Amino acid sequence: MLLATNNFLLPNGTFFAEIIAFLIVLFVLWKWILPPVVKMMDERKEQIRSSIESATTQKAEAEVYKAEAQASIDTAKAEARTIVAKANAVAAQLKEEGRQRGQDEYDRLVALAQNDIQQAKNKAVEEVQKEFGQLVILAAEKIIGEELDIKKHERIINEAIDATSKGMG
Amino acid sequence: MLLSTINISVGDHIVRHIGPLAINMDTVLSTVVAGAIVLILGFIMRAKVTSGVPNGLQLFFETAVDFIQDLVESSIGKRTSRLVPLAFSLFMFILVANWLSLIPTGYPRPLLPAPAEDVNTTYALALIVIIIVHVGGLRAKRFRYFSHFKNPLNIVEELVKPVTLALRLFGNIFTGGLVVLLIGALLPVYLVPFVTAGWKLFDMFIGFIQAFIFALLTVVYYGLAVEEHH
Repeated sequence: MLLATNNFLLPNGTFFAEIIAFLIVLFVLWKWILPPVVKMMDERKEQIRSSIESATTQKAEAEVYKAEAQASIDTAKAEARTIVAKANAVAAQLKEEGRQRGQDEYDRLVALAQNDIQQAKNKAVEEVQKEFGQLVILAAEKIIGEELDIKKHERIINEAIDATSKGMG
Repeated sequence: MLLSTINISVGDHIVRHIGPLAINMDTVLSTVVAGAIVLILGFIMRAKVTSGVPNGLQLFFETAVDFIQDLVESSIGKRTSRLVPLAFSLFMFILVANWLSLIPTGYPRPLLPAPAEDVNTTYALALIVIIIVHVGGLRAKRFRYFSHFKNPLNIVEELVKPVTLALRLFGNIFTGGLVVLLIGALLPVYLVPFVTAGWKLFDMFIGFIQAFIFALLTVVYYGLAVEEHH
């Protein structure tokens, strides 16, 4: 019996069966099982690599967009500040103009009123003087007993009026 | 006294004679079952293989392949080599074969003993490995490969390599089966299931480590054979 023995450390015919069995396992794993596993691992590696790559690119792009956006915001803020400053200036100017106009109107109205008052006063004084003159003439006629010729005695009358109006005055 | 009452026979197999060959049928059956499990798992994995999120089985295969690729790369400097399928097959086959003995299939003689409890299995694996190692060395260095053997100690070393490779695996796994037998023979019957369960968990660890060492040494030996400087 080939290799048949009682010593359990020596091989027998099973040895050949085992070689064949393992070679079959090796062949099947090698040809059919391992290639798809390795292929999928490589594909996944490639996917991860490209994902990281595109993520890096997109991050760089995002940085650019962020910088652009920040620049836009800065510009907008500066513009806003300019606009507000301009608006403040315009508002201050309008306020000043309004105040000036109000003051002018006030001054004009006051002047007008003063003028009216002066005219009324002058008119009143004039009327009073005129009536007073007639009163003086009537009084003088009564006292003298004859009619006074206004034209003849105008000078005297006016002198009297002036004297009285100075007293009223 | 106790030992005499039970008959623990070492290295005893169910032998059939086919032509001039004596075949250990239990070892062959275990080997076929272990190989079938590896291949069936492989084909199940292959049916659902994806480059997306892998399922648990694919993850297991990928982890093992990746690990062996790393090992091969550190040994011979490239990830893609015919060494990868060899080391992977050795690891998977020995792992499943060793774990086969976790299944209780009979006492004292299990229907499915670990194939590595038989030296035929481990000699067969070691012979395949050592042939591939030397063929690899010859292909890489041509005739310069023989200069390695000018030192007789190197010849001894090369002869010892396959023997230690085979006997290390055999010894570890054979002992695992033997301890199960001894637990059953020496301990009170109510303790046997618990102690056996504890031992088999440990044996599972040994089975993994031995599969790993066998694949690792295969890669290391191959690396040494194709290496340019001594």
